[in-house]
Amino acid sequence: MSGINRRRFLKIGTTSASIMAAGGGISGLVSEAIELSMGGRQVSRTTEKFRKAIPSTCLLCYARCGIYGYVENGLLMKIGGNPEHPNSRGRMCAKGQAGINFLYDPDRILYPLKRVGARGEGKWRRISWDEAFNEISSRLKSLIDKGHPEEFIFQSTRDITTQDFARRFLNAYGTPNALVNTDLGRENKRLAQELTWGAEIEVNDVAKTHYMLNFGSNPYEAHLLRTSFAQRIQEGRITTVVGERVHHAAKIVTFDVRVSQTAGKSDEWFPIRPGTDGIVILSMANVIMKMGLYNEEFIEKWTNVSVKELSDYLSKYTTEMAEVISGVPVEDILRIAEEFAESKSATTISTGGLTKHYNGTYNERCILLLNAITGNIDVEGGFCLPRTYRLSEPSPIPPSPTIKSELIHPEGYPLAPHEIPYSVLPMIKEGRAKAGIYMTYQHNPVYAGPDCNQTKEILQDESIIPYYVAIDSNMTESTIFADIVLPEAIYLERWELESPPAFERIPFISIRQPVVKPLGEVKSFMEICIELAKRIGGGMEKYFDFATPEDYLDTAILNIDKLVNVGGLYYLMEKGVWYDKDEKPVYRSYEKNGFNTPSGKFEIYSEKMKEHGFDPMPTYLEIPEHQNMKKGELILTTFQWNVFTHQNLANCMWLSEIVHDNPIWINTETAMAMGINDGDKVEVRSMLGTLITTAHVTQGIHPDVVAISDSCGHWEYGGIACGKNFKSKDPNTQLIWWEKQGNGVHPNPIIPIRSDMVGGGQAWMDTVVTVKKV
Amino acid sequence: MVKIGEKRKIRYGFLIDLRRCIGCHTCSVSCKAENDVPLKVFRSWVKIIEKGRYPNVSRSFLPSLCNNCDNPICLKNCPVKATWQRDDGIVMIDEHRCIGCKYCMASCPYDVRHVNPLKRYVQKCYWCYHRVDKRVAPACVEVCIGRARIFGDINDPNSEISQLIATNPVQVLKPEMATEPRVYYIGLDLDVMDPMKGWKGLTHEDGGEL
Amino acid sequence: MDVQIIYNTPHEIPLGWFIATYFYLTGLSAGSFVVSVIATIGGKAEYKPLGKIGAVLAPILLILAPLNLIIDLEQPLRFWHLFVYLNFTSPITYGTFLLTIYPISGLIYAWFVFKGNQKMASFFGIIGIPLAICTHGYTGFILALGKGRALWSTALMPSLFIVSAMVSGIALLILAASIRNRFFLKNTEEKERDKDLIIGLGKFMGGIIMMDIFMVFNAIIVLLTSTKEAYEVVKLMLIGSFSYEFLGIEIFLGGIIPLFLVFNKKTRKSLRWLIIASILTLIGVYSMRIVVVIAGQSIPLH
Ligand SMILES: Nc1nc2c(c(=O)[nH]1)N[C@H]1C(S)=C(S)[C@@H](COP(=O)(O)OP(=O)(O)OC[C@H]3O[C@@H](n4cnc5c(=O)[nH]c(N)nc54)[C@H](O)[C@@H]3O)O[C@H]1N2
Ligand SMILES: Nc1nc2c(c(=O)[nH]1)N[C@H]1C(S)=C(S)[C@@H](COP(=O)(O)OP(=O)(O)OC[C@H]3O[C@@H](n4cnc5c(=O)[nH]c(N)nc54)[C@H](O)[C@@H]3O)O[C@H]1N2
Ligand code: SF4
Ligand code: SF4
Ligand code: SF4
Ligand code: SF4
Ligand code: SF4
Ligand SMILES: [Mo]
Repeated sequence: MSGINRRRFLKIGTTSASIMAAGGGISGLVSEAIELSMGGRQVSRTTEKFRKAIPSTCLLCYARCGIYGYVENGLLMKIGGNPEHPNSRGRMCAKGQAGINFLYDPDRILYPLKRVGARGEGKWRRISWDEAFNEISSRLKSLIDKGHPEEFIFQSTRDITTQDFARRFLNAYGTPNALVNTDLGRENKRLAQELTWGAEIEVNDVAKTHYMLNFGSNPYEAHLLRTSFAQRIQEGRITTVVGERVHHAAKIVTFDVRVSQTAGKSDEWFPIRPGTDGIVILSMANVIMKMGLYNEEFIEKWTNVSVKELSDYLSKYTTEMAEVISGVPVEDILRIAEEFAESKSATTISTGGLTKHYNGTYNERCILLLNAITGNIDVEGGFCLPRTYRLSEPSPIPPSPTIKSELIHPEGYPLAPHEIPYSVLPMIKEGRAKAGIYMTYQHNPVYAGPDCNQTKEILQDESIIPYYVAIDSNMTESTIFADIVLPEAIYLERWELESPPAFERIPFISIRQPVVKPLGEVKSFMEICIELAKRIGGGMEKYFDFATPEDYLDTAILNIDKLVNVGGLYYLMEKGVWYDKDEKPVYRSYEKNGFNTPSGKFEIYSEKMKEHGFDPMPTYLEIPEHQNMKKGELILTTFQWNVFTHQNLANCMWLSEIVHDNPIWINTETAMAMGINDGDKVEVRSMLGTLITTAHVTQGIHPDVVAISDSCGHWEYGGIACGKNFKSKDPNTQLIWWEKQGNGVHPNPIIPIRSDMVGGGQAWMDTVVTVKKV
Repeated sequence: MVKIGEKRKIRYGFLIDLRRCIGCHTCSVSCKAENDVPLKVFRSWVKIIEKGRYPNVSRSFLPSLCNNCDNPICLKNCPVKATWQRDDGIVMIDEHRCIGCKYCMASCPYDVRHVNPLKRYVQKCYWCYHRVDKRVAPACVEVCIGRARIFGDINDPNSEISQLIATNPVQVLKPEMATEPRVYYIGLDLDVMDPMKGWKGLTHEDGGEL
Repeated sequence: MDVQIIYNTPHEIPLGWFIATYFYLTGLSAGSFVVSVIATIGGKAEYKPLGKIGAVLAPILLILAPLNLIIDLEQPLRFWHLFVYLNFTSPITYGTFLLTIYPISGLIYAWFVFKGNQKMASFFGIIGIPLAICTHGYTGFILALGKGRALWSTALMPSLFIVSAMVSGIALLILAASIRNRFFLKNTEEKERDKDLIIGLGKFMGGIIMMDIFMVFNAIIVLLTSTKEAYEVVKLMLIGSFSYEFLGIEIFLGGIIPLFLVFNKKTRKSLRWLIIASILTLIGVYSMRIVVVIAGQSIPLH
């Protein structure tokens, strides 16, 4: 692990002759070009020595960028980017840079805690791991002895990497209630994509594209692949010359209800009425068919509908109708549709704004359609299939339990394969499932989910949730109700392997390894599972017959010969990432084996949807509560700040210093009509209740919409997250200067649980509210 | 300009290509992490404005840092020569000599200096000289998502920064101050560089500063 | 064009009350010194007491003044760096010399004044005048060379500081002399003569206040039409958060009212009114220092 000896340089300048000034020193007279390394090395200001560099992978959001931890005397001093990481290429976001704050968070939980007061009272006793393991394993065992392993309900959301491991543990234990499938925002997108083209997420080849059409995505601030994605959008937008090839700047057009950072930097921004993207997309598709700008070959050969059928079907979606519903002018729809279809290559970009609605699944189907009819599926500069490695599991592999689970496949949602995460606790309350033990891992249902107060009440009620174990890094709005809190090693202290969708179209594997010794007594989730399995026994232990998580990971890459040949895990520990250098970027992969759907085609028409009584064609579904809205009613949208990942970074001081306040955005004219001025205190009321915040009066939002971020206003989690100035080992906590301004409000208590009937995703962006000055 | 036959001196420069900037604050946070900058003060920050009238609205960004000027007024005004300039142009502060009179802060037209609230002397961005001297790019340059930040030798005509300056319209902040700033911008927006635009002023209710 | 700032970083104002007080005290010192010297070399015996008062006040004030400066340093224990590491382009370095030499020459001057050595007192007084003016003028340079700040960066600043220093210096002398007159002088004839002197000083003050207001007026008019920052800072002073301090205290209380008092038939002969006028003037000049220093930094630079 000698990152120090490896030198990576990004050549600045074009001269070929260049020397490395040995060791540096203050620069004097030199005539050679200077080359600066762009990652992999870092210098201490005080000792002027290079620090030990350990490659790893960030996990402060789903993008999973390649990083280096720079260590001195066992302390992490700095996090930098890994330029060899094919996706992030050495760049990082503000959150990733604040990872040190997360590691050395003064409020982190470092020891197992057992509740001593009443539920939620916040009184704890520090216990040993032995006591914690004994208590939890004996409770888990007794559920098995009772013959009700399904009463062990496990819920997690951010466990992209440990998902397989969690599933293994839960399968071995015998509970079907493994709520590990989702990352809470993507249920609708996943279902629509799986049904249509057999993948779960697309990769937009934006760096090479000629046109980007964005419906409700905000990659400059959020997006699942954030840093890797945003940098490529920027690349695509600038004219570049690579060798002989001239890439001309691509245009980006954004449809969003407000001026997000992305919208504000797009070539064009179209405000749109919430939840009406579907009709605009369909009418664009109609225009494209009518004008003959479609890609006949792709439609006829690779989709399961014909040009004629499609044209006929789409003809009802006129631009006039789209304008009436969405507010986007006919001329613009016509023009953008034409531009999109005529571009040599083009791709849509879409995430939450499109799918976090009651009609999210259908909307995503519309997007897939638009890319298909223009022939942009899996082509250079287009809308591409993800390429990743599938890691293997060591044998023996535990069988999946056969017991049926209402939580996983709730009635009324015949198609949603990814649970209805926010309904889990309410369903338990309604008695549709029984909880003996509820365990959360990296999940804060009270804060992250809708209707916080209901979730709170359920977790507080021992008759509904008799025993609650939380595995987390911090004392959150949820873990405060736990009976036992297990402190987990965070991403800088543990082992995992990653293979996120590759932008360069060559799949890769990156490693997460401890860059420092775990603080206090924290343990990784894998270690916790292994130990629990051993203590529960009863045959379960045979699936966890490895001494350490590293052993498990070692076997996970056994099926990748080329990696094994260069050293396997050791290679990864040394370099951070691996990919097959001989592989060439792959496009049009479907030409080989077809799409991963029942027909092998791109299923614009979905038999499966038909079977379950849903519309088999991409369609526009009106959002019921948005019809007949009364005067003065507005639609509440929530959004993500660029310095937070939902909630879990609010205790990072460098981030909270930048954003600690979340006023509600309201359109200038709307505000004027209500007598609201910028900075006024306002009350926002939904069917669930009210919140009070200040008004951010802006020209940059649709007049019928108000918007507020989802990552402020903590009431637990830590002093910094709560905006307090306090004494700790770090003198900086006494410099918190925004105490008076407060830490904002959280919108989720007034957002009701409401999900898309098809995909089961929460309709985050649909809440109807009224606003008044207080 | 280097004369023929003369050995070229390194003169560092910094360029921010705003066509590529996404306003992500990564530079600000990476600077804090690299240089142990406490809360309350920033050596690097990103101003963001919104302009226009619905529905024609856009955003502009302005990442700021010390310009390491060629003619630095902070240096001229420092009474104890705690501020000094290296041959390569980087303007340094001798932390052991600085008496903390804050005159440099009051004089700098760009407000890029700050008193370290824990150590009680004045600091500012020094283009990560400790990294640059070891041939490592400045911390904020390394991680910039848009690769909007370019650092290099402006006396080397072949360097990326020189080429970008040579082939693009560039701008510096407040050229009229004659400090000869060495942070160049491409695509700088008039409204974001104007401190008065969007400034709401101080009223008696704000208490002013008194 | 509608422009709204979505995010910007707050920056602290570097120079504050201590610096304004420092400027004020050096001004007072310089002003009273100059008046004292004029009185001393003026020849008339009745002026002598005035000269003595000034000669005492000037060095005392000048010892208090730099204390403010040192307290304001983030590293007060390093203040000796000022004497060791000199930077001849920095006005604070000139200040280091002036603040050392001027009080010394002032003390020598005072010594001769009290010894009644008219010749030597005049000699050191005349040497001291440019030093006193420089000592205060240089504080004006500190601001004038703070080129980022629209309000400061004007060639008028040193002169403006000197003129207002004169105003405050005379006001202080009037105050001191009046107190002496009321409480310490017994001889009625002497009292009357002294009073005439004070009334004369009042007129002198009135003249310089007019000059001061005239210069401020000039500065304001030019600032209003130069840069946007300058315009905004003047707006702050005229209708913004500094209007009480500027228009109310500096101009009205500290300028117009004293002018009225020293020139009005009914009040100009009354010591009581003159005392009030000089107190108001002293407050006004202090307010001016505060407004210049703090309002000058209240305009964002980014
Ligand atoms: N209003 C509104 N609400 C939303 C959304 C919205 O658009 N609007 N979006 C939703 C979406 S898309 C999502 S994905 C969810 C996210 O909701 P969650 O997944 O619940 O929230 P996260 O912020 O990702 O963090 C989860 C928990 O993980 C903990 N944690 C962090 N690192 C570690 C670790 O290494 N180990 C362990 N054990 N714990 C760790 C944190 O302390 C935190 O308690 O929020 C949803 N909430
Ligand atoms: N910085 C940061 N990055 C993140 C996250 C984070 O919390 N912070 N979370 C990660 C996760 S889990 C997720 S799911 C993604 C989310 O990433 P995104 O989906 O890109 O972000 P959101 O803020 O949920 O929504 C995107 C935009 O949709 C707009 N919008 C709302 N309603 C509509 C509509 O009806 N039509 C249109 N066209 N637009 C609409 C909102 O104004 C918002 O700007 O980001 C990931 N990356
Ligand atoms: S985008 Fe930021 S938070 Fe997400 S993985 Fe990359 S560096 Fe970490
Ligand atoms: S890191 Fe780069 S892209 Fe992000 S705000 Fe700073 S300059 Fe802009
Ligand atoms: S930007 Fe300001 S602090 Fe930096 S060198 Fe120029 S004048 Fe000095
Ligand atoms: S604060 Fe320090 S660096 Fe600035 S002028 Fe004073 S002594 Fe020089
Ligand atoms: S160059 Fe270094 S010191 Fe300057 S802003 Fe960037 S990170 Fe901070
Ligand atoms: Mo999400």
